[in-house]
Amino acid sequence: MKTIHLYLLAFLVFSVKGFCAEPSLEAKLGYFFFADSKMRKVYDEGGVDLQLSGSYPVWKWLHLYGSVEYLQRSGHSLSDHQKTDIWQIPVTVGLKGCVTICSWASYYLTAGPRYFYVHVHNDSSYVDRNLDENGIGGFLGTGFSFFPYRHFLVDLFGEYSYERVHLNTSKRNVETKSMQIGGFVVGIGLGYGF
Amino acid sequence: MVFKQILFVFFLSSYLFADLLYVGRGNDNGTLVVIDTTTNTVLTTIPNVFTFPAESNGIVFNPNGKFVYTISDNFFFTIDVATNSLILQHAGVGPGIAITPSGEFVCLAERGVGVVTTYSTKTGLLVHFLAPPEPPYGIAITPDSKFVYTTSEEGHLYVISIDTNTVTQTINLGFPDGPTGIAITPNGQFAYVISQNSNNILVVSTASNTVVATIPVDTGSAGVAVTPNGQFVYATNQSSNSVTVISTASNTVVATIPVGSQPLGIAVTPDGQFAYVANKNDGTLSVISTASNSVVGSPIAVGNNPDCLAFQPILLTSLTGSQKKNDFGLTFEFFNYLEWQNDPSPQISGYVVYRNGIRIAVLDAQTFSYKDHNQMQGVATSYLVAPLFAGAEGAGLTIVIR
Repeated sequence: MKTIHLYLLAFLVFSVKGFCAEPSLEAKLGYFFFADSKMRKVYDEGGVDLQLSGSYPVWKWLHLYGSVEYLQRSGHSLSDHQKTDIWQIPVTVGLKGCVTICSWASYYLTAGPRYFYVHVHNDSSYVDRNLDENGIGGFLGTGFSFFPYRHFLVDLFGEYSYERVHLNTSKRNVETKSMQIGGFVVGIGLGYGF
Repeated sequence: MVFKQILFVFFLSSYLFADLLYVGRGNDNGTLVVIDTTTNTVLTTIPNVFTFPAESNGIVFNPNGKFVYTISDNFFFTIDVATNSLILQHAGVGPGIAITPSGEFVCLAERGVGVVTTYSTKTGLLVHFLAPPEPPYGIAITPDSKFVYTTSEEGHLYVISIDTNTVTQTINLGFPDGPTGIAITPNGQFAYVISQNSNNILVVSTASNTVVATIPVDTGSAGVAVTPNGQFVYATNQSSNSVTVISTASNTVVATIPVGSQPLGIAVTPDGQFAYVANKNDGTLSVISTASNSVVGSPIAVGNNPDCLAFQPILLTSLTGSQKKNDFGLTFEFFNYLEWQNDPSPQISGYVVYRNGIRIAVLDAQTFSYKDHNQMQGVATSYLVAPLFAGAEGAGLTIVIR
């Protein structure tokens, strides 16, 4: 077992070459859906996720990773079917581990904490029409980067985030509850490797 | 004269739903007995509605279901159904009593003084009166509220315009010996007139105001009622202790049903499934299945001398409700959801919703549900939904939601 780990580490360290050693900047487009089943039932429309991310090599295969994201979903309240929208702006700073698979492809893993801001708009007079909150969560991402041309990269990625939030209300006979508003994003990115 | 005129404006109840049957008893200070027709048991007895010994000659409900009107030999009375208490009494003699489909006016055929009087149910005041050539006896109002048909014991049927308060037509019924009761079909096309002594029922076309058929029946006709669908007429025969069933399509007798002793008043349930007969000598009600035209169940004991009866109109046929969670995921609130049904009635102009006795909403006639938002979870809340009928609130239904 120990031998396998050593081989894997050696592979990661010594396979770093080409684009895995270069800084990159990407624009990503993805589809977001909530991890929580209740949130999926309520917000069953939309799901656009836009990201701007970048990475900078700090040691061999290890990059410093950061992204700014915008995602939005729409839906309707359960039972009374009143329209509601939610959008988030997560800001992520983490680490990215990159492995070159061949001369034109690499695989990566990203992880780290994230700050997020969430805004909810309820088209209802019975609950708070607008609610805002922010918090700290975490994320885990993975993907494959392809380099069809020099400096040009195409990224297929997936991401999971954990963001627990509890909104506050001042309305009478309205309640709020702590929910996991993170979820999954899958999508594609286009970028430039410096 | 033991014969009583029992009149019911059945076309009114054709679009109404009722669970309660009010029975008038004679010679007992006007005691009313309330029957729950879902169980056919006496729900309550309202004693001494009259302040003196008198017989109930007739009873009608306001279509809004909130008031019942009954007439004795000397007075007619307005009773609040919610409290089952007398709220108004007027000098007036029967035996005929009828109410307009809108519930706006009560008309009395006052044989003793020879007039037809019309009272406003809103003000309780006499609106007008008219003396036909002969003393009126039975009375019925057309579904369009335009005409009053009243019989005279001398053998005539008078048509009175409600708008002009004049006799517009006099129909010679062809037999002078006591035409009494009268009922008009729900479509308003025919009036069925009974004659207690000639043992006939006459069919009068309201279009031509002529007698179009004469139907022999058992002896001693007393009460008459038309099924809500207008297909059959049920008439009691107090001397032969039976009920005659007449097909309005063929104007022939299709069944004769033995009932109790001296059947007088008769009323058909709004759904048309049963006819209830007041057996005066027995002190009972017989229940007839209109499907089999046979008596079903045991007679319902109601006390001495039942002679007239009427169903309480319920404009709402059902009211259901539950508490629901309006869940936005991150935030939520509870609301109490009410849903009701009624039989189609062009006269319902809207609905009023009360929460714990406080009016919270006025809704249009096309709305059959209401959501009361921002309620506390699991807290019992009482709701009343009342129809707006002829400009006033009718009898509603209540529900408790928790």
